[in-house]
Amino acid sequence: MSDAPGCGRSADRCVLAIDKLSVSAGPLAITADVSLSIAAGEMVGLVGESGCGKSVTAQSIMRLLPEPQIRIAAGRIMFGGSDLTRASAREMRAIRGRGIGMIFQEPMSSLNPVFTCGDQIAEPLVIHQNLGHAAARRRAIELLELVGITEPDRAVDRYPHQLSGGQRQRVMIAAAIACGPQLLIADEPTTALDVTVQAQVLGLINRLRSELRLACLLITHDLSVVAEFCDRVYVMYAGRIVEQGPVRSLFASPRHRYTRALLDTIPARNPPGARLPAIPGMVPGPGARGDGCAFADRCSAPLTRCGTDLPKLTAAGEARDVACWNPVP
Amino acid sequence: MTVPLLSVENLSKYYVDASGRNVLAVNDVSFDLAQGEVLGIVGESGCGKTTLGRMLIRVLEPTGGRIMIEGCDFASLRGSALKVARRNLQMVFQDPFGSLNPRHTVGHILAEPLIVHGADRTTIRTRVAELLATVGLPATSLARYPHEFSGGQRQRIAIARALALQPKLIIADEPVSALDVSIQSQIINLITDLRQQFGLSMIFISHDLSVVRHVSNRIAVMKAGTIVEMGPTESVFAHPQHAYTQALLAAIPKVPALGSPVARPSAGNSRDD
Repeated sequence: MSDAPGCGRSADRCVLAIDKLSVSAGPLAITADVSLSIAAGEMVGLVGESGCGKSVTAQSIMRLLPEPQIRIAAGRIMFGGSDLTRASAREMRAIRGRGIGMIFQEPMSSLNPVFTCGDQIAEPLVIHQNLGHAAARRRAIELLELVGITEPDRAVDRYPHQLSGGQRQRVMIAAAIACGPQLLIADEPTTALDVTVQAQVLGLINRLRSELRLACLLITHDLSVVAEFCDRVYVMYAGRIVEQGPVRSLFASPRHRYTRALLDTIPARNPPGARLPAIPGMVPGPGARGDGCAFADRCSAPLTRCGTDLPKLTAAGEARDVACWNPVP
Repeated sequence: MTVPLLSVENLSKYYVDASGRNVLAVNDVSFDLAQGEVLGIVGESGCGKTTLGRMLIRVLEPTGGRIMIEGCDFASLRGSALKVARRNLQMVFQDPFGSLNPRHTVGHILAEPLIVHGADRTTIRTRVAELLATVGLPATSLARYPHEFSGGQRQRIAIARALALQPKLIIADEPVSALDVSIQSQIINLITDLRQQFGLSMIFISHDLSVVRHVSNRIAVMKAGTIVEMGPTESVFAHPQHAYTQALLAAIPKVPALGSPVARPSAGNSRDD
């Protein structure tokens, strides 16, 4: 097995270890054989285009998939010594918010508009830690201060619509970390935010991850965000992990043709005004992926076997894995 | 001296808030745009860049100032003169899901501006086929509906619609921000091609500096309703003068280049709040 490089290949340091997870909708495979691990204090990126299975993977960890239509078909999700794929609804309720915190793309629609920020941060504290109203409120103010909200004792009584997008995302983060989770999942946390606010919010997540030794899973389609904030990155394509490795080495010398193509499309990596390399075509949906490599149709250097044989994720250099028959040299 | 294609003079838009105070959405903005030029307008949410774009096509009426198109005061036009002038200004919006009528076929969507401006059937048929080819969509798209297309393809449809009347100026308000990176680059390339092919002039509104840098000759940086800095793209990037421009540039995450040295301090601790 070549998973878990971030955990030094010893599973006991892993906060989260996903092993060969497959999610399906009836007979259709949405994701297949996804293995991913995160150590305490590590920020791991999961990147890919829309429809690659990033959010489905995140929802599987939290068991937020719309089961039974979309369900976990195989694999394990090891967290805190137990397999989340087998956890009961009751056990999952104890884990969500306490063991694992999650924040989403659009902070306006993930906060409840009719409750104050304080109420929403206090809710997990009341549920998981049995705090009384006054104690939960005091803790909510502390948390608001921790996430960098100015005048937290006033902000605690504000409603989501009275805050800016960046402040709302900070409130989401405060609620997500209220009960001291070991793992924070951030699904496109800054896609809806301005570039300066994005830098602040990611800086905040980064600070919390080192201060609280949080394991973080950052899901994004923005490779530049991964480059700046993550330690390791998994690249996902059409439901499978196609490349994995430390950010610096993976960005400097991508091995998978898809990773290379994605990096090439970044405007900042191209001379101003030059024609941007584009990836022709689109991500094939579940059921349109064929037997071979799902990227073969869009690949710049396909071999004949790419259309028929599925490449497996194999070791490619130090702490790197790639699933490609004809990797970038 | 040649007359610029577009000349904006002291343009302002005020709103009145609930307590009766004036809110300045756009405050005293002036610039010229030459034929064939692309002006990028960057700034954060709420800086007034979208309001500015909307005033230029007169979806919003300015509170003050003038919009001159080829030396003629656009804001004073009424009725048929306004309709004629509007042919020359077209808009591409951010959200390709919201800006195409879901109940119309692509053929109808592309034909509509031509119908409104009185083209005959044969002209419409040839022009619509031409437009599809220009933006790289198959001819079979005509009978299909917007929901059958991906985000990138829909943005191509929106661009084709904007081109239908052969406008002199296209205003694109965040045309690629709703798209995936790989699709973004396809649309940026399309825009670059169209510029070269038709000598289009364009106002490209975006919060993404790296995209703006790629498509624009000149950049105007907006903050709180005013242009705080304007200049040729490369000089703004190389030597930002205003503190706000410097802050914007500093906030862009840096992507290491291919083959860059691997040994670097851990990515994690380089930045904080």
